[in-house]
Parts: sequence; structure tokens; C-alpha cells
Amino acid sequence: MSSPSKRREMDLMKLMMGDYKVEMINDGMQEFYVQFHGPKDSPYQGGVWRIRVELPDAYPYKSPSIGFINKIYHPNVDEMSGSVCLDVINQTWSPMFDLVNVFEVFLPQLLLYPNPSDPLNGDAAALMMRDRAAYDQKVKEYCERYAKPEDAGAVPEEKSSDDELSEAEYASSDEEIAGKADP
Amino acid sequence: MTSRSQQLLQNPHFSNRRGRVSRITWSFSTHTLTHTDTPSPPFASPLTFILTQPKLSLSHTQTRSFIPIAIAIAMGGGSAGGVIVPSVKSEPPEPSTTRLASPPPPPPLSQDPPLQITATDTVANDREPMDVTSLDKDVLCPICMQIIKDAFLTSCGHNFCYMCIATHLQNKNDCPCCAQYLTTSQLFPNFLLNKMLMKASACQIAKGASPIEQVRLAFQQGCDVSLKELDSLLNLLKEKKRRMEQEEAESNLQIMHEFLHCLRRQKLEELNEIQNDLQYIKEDINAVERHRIELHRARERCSVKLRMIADDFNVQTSLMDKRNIINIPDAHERKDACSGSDSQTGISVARKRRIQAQFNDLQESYLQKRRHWAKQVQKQEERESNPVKREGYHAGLKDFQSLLSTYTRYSRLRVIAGLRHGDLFHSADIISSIEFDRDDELFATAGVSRRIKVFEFASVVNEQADVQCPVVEMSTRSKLSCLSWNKYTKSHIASSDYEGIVTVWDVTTRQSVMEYEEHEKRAWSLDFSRTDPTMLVSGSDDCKVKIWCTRQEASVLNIDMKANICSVKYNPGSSFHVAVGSADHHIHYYDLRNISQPLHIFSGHRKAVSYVKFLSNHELASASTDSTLRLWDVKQNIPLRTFRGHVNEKNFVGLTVNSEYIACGSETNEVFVYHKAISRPAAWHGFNSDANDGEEAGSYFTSAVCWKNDSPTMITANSRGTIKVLVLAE
Repeated sequence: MSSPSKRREMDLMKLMMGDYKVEMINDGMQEFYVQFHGPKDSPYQGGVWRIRVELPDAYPYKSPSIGFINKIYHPNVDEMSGSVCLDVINQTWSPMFDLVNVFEVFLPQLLLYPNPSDPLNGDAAALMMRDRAAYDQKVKEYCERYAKPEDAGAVPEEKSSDDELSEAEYASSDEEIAGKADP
Repeated sequence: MTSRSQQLLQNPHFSNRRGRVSRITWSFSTHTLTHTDTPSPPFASPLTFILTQPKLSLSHTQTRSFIPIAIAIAMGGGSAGGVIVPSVKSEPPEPSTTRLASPPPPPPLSQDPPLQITATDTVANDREPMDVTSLDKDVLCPICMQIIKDAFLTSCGHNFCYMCIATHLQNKNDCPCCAQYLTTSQLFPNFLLNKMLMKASACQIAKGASPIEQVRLAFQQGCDVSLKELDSLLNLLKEKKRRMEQEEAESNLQIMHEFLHCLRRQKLEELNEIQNDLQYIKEDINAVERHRIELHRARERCSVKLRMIADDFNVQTSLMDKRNIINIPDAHERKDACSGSDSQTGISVARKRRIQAQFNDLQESYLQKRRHWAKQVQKQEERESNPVKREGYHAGLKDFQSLLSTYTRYSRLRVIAGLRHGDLFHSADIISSIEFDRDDELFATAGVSRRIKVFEFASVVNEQADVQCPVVEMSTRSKLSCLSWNKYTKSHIASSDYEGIVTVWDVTTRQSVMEYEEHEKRAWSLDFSRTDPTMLVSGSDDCKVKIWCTRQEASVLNIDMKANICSVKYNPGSSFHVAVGSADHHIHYYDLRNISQPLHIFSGHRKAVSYVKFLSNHELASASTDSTLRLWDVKQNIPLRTFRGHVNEKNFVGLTVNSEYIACGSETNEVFVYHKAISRPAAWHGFNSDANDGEEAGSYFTSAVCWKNDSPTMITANSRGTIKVLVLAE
């Protein structure tokens, strides 16, 4: 193959030029974060998500893996890990697509027209089939709670400050330790 | 596809056969491509030789993928005789069909600013880097975004580089552009396109190349140049080369020269500094020796006087008592002064050993103080302009003297009293806070047992009863995390508890005086101000720091922060300065008159800051669960020292300071005491060593400590509920 990395570089360059906020994870051009806004005229409108894109070695022959860092309610996105169902991407992927395509066309399409036949979030898929209005409502709630601009722009490490309650250890210890009889 | 044909297809058949047209025969049955070199009129219509193919194929009666070849290859020209060739429009087929509902055009290449693509990969890449966007976008392969190399056409009419489409077809059997079913058997070479692209790229290279490249290319291709011209060119090149070599040599020398100068300057500075230090040390040695001799002489005089008195006395009483006379030290004053008297050797040896152990820290302290004071005295002398000969010690030496004597004075901690706090049946009774009152006569303890107990210090120390009774005992609603006595009103004490409630109690009436219920989560720490005794500060898990006044129920000030607050403390010299230790690993130092942002944020701890305490108006000590204590200067906003030796990875283990020493607990059930100028522990004591009532060691940790003001006495408590009074000893 004549120039695999050139293709990557070009795609990344095009993405950055296209007014997307791109943040490299390391200098290997394998993984990076992009900020993505919910498509208009969809319940996801107004939400801002931080998306982690990983380009496999065989890119562009293999599709990139897409993951949502902050939570999103969607039938084809796993709620806990945020990864988008790979099949869905693979089926539609072609080496002709590039990263700008992914963010301009593919992701908005996915959000506007989820594919309930291959769900990662069974609840969401079921709700969507049953009661579209309730599904829209829930999507909007999730956007409100988890897809604020600061959620997408914040560095993940800061959230760990909530876990510094290690000092709380001794709070419960007195209940747990049973009374010891005097020798 | 057979491997043989694959092999053939991979063979770059578009070799450098410039100016020649190859005859290529294609066999459908075996899918082989053979080509022979045939000289041909240069402008043979591209269609002529191609037309031979269909003829061959017809004989094999295989018409599969027959028409598409013709369509594809005939795109350059108009109609031709022979096989069915539908006329094709001159522009190449647009790869515009896509599979998505809203078809986008191919990526908006036209709007991009020119991209410079550099050849970063070195693996068998024979393509020159070039500025592709200035060309027609259509000549780019949609897969690799470069000018198509070895153009191959698909049966659906799209062009790709051979390698690109072959690699793609290894994964998936479709056309990347239109998603039609596609296999490698439906790929066909696109000779015309390839030829045209090669011409175009050659032009590109030629245009973009530098004059040197052009000359080189010209020579490689063989151009006419006379011997004289060649000679002159050679001379020119030689001259240029010599000049460049000279320049490079010069610049190297320059660099070396600068480096050596810099190094010399640096070493001279160091030498200067060391010489200054030696000077100070020499002066100080002289001063100390002079002082010693004086002291010795004074002692001599004293003992002579005593001897005279004794002599008189003896003469009056009897001669036999002469033996009981005080022994006068031997003749040589100096020698004695230097060797010291016998009775002190034991202690001196121990002290000397301790000094050796911490030599580096002490050295650093001495030099720092001496240098600092030398500058100060110099400034003073400049101002006064009549230098007075200094008698006695230099100010820096005096400073260090006091440090050295305090450091070497104590080597261990001794237990002088102890009492059991909790019930006999509850083996865990963590005491979270011990504090002395305003006059250091009473001390209060509080912890998870939901009780504040006030004891009289004197009676605890003097009466060695097994179970001590507190003079006051108050029950609270929830577990307590911190206590603080009012620094003015002797009987008032404030407590913070796990529900976030801050209460001010009066120990004489055993009632609560004020209750502040604004914190939403557990309050960890609180402190009364020393300079304004109506104000107190509290910090909580709800990330808020609140300032209260004893005259009103609502908080006076509220500071919102981003992480849990573990500790708060007022600066003892100011009613406006508060230090806040937070779970975000930093200490935020606020001026309460402007709480929009802190005066300074002290960073350095690796984990949450569990305690902050002030040694003086400008020195702040902090403890953290990264097993270190740190000392900061809040006036100059610099870190001073890091103390290591104890273990603290999880719990609140207690921190207390006085003007010289810092003490903290440890998860090894020990108490550590550090001198503020030395980073290793000065003394420590383990509670397991005096397990005289069958306590089990192990998971207990020291949970609270408190100095009795500036004395060497301290009270400690551990998670078992045992309280001990310790004192620093030799």
C-alpha cells in the first residue's frame, strides 16, 4: 500500500479544518477526541458529546471505532461504555468515506434514524418501537443531564475528585467491628 | 482468482516503456495478461491495439465483462469500428453515487486550503510528494487521496489505484463508491488514464522542483553540455563547497567557545559561593571558640572563688575535707575547653550521632540562614555607614544555634500518663479530635462515640488512676469530626459533626449555645479565629467553606469550591486569612475580603490534603494521605520543606504544630515528631510497645494529636480510644 499514513494525516487535517474541535490522545494519530453536536430536528439537538475515535491499523479499509464519552440514550450505543455498535458502522463503511463524512453524515444519520434491529441498548430500542414520544422525551432528558457543553469539554480526570472520600473509611468501621470481650 | 494471475496483475506492467506502445493480450479463460513490446507508430490511436482484445475474446465466446472494458477504455475517444462501443461522454464517470439517504458530494476537497503532503513513510514508496490539490480533484483515488497510480477501472465504472482497490476487495466485495458487487475479476487496467496521469504528475514534479533538481534531472536524462561549461560548473561547485565547510567549522567553534565560557562562569559562581560559605564557617568557628574560652574562664573564676571560700571554710573546720573540694580542671584552658568535661560525654555522643544522621538537612539550614542574615547585615551596614564591630555571634549563627540546640535536645518521646476513653466492649472508638482550651488547663476529646469529654490536664498527669473521669461530658446527636475552643471565652467550644451541623457549646452549663445548620453534608473541620473570637470557619463535604459569627445564625460568608474540604484554619495573626485544605490535592489560601479567588494555591501534595495548621503568622504546615507533611511560607508563597517518615495513606491521623515542632499520627499506630527545619523525624513513639493491658496491635492508627502549646508535652489518641500523654525527652 503506497501511503497509509498520508491518508490518515489528510483525513485528520480535513477534520480539523472543518471546524471540529479535535484533541489528539497521543502523537500516533491512532486515537483522538472530537466534539460533536446533536443534529438539528432531532431530539438530540442541543446536546454536545465528546466522541472518541480510534483509527485501526487497516484504516481506511476498516472502519474507525466510535465511542461516546459522555452518556447518550440511543439504541445503537451502549449506555455504559458509550461505544457505537460496530456492525452498524461496518455495514455502511467504505474506504471512500473519511472522518468528516463520519461526523457530517454518518453520525447524524445514525442519531436521526437508529437501527433497532441490532441494538446495544435494548431498552432504548424497545422504547423507540413502543412509544416514540416517550423515547424522544427520554433522549432529551439525557441530553439535559449528560450532554451539556462542560460535559463534553471537561477532562475526564476531574471527575475523580468525588472519589476522594477515602477518609470516610473510618466512619463505618466502628459499626462493623464487633465488640471484643476483655481478655 | 488464481495466484498466478494475481501475480501478473501485481506486476507493474506500466513500466518505463516510454515512447512505446505495448501490445497487451488479455485472455479471459485464464485471466492472464501478457504483453509484448512492439515498436509502433507513436501516435497510434489508442483504440487500435485495444481493439485486438475483443477479437481475441470473441473466439473464446466469453462475453462476461466484455462490454464494460470497451466502455471504460474507449472514454478517450469517439466512435471506432469493430466491437460495440457505446459512445461515452468525455468527462470521466463521477463517483457521486452513494449509499446513504442524503448523498453528500465527495469530501469538499475544493474548499480546502492547499495541503502540503510530505512523504513520511519510507516503505517502497516511489511516489513523489506533491501538492495534489492544485490538480483536478477527479484524478485522486478516493481511497488514498493521492493521484491514482496504476489506474484500474471497476465494472461499475470507478477508477482506483490498483493496490487500493485490491486491498479493499480483500475485506469486502463491493465498490467503495457505489456499493455494487465487485470482485477482483471485475477490475481492469485503465491504460489511457494511467498514461495521462503519469504525464500530469511528471509535469507537476518538473514545475515544483527546485532548480537544482531540474539540473540534476536534466543531467540524468543526458543533456548536451560542453567540456568548458562542465569545468566551470565543477569549479563553481567546489568553491561553494569549500565556503560551506568553512562556515560550518566556524559555527561549531563558536558554539564550543560559548559553551566553555558559560561553563567557566558557572563554575566561578559556584567557587565564589563556596568561598563565601567557607568564610562564614571560619568566622563562626572563631566566634564559637572565643565564646567557649570565655565560658571556660568564667567557670574557672567561679570555681576558684568557690575554692577560696571552701579553703577558708576548711581552714576553719578541718584539713581532711580538702578531698571534697571541687576538682579544678587541668592546666590547659584551651585544651579543656575543647575536649569538654567527662560528665557530659554520654549525652554528647548521642547528640553528635543525631547530628551526623541529619547532616545534610542541618547543613542546608545553616547555609541558608547564614547567607540570608549576611545579606541583611550587609544592607544594614550600608545604611548605617559606620560599621560597628560585632561582638558575639553573627545573627545567622545565633539563628542556627537555636535550631541545633532544639533539634538535639530531644531524641524520643516518653509516656507520662494514659487513660482509656471508650467502653471496654467497643474496641473501636475513634477519637477524631483533641484540643486544649485557651489556657491549656483543660482538654476536650470528641469522636465517633458522639460525646464531647472534657478532662483536666493536671489531674490526668498527676493522678495515675486507671480510669479517668471527665469533668464534663456532653452527648451529641451525631458523630463528631472536629473541635475548636474559643480563644477568648474560656468555656466555649465548637464542634462539627457528620450531619454538617456546627455547634457551639458552653462547657459550664453543658448546653449548646449556637447551632449552625447550613452544611448539606458532613462537616470535617472548623476553627475559631484567634484575633476575632466571634468568628469561626468550617469546611464540609459539600465543597463549601462557611464563615460564621457567634452573634447570628446565618453564615456570614460562603465560599463554593470544586472539591471536598477536609480542613480549614484561620491564620493566628489575622482575622481575614484562612487556609483551606481540599480533596483536590491543593491548599487554597483565601483573604476573606475577596473570596472570588484565593490569594494563592499551594500545590505539591499528591493526594487530598487532610489537615492544615499554622506554626506562626507566616508558616503553614499541611498533612496529606500521600504520607508526607509539607511546610509552606504563606507570605512568600513558596514551599519550604517536605517531611517523610510516617505512613498515612487513607485515614485522618491527626496533625498538630507548635512554634518549633510538628507532630502527626501514623497508620502504624505510632506518633511522629518532626522539627520544622529537618525533613526526617526527630522522634517517634509506637503505641504497640506499651500494650500493658493486652491490646492487640494491627489495624489501629493514631487518630488525633495535640501539643500543649509550646511545651514539649502532647496528647495523642488512637482509633482504639486510648489517650496517652507524651513528652519529648533526651
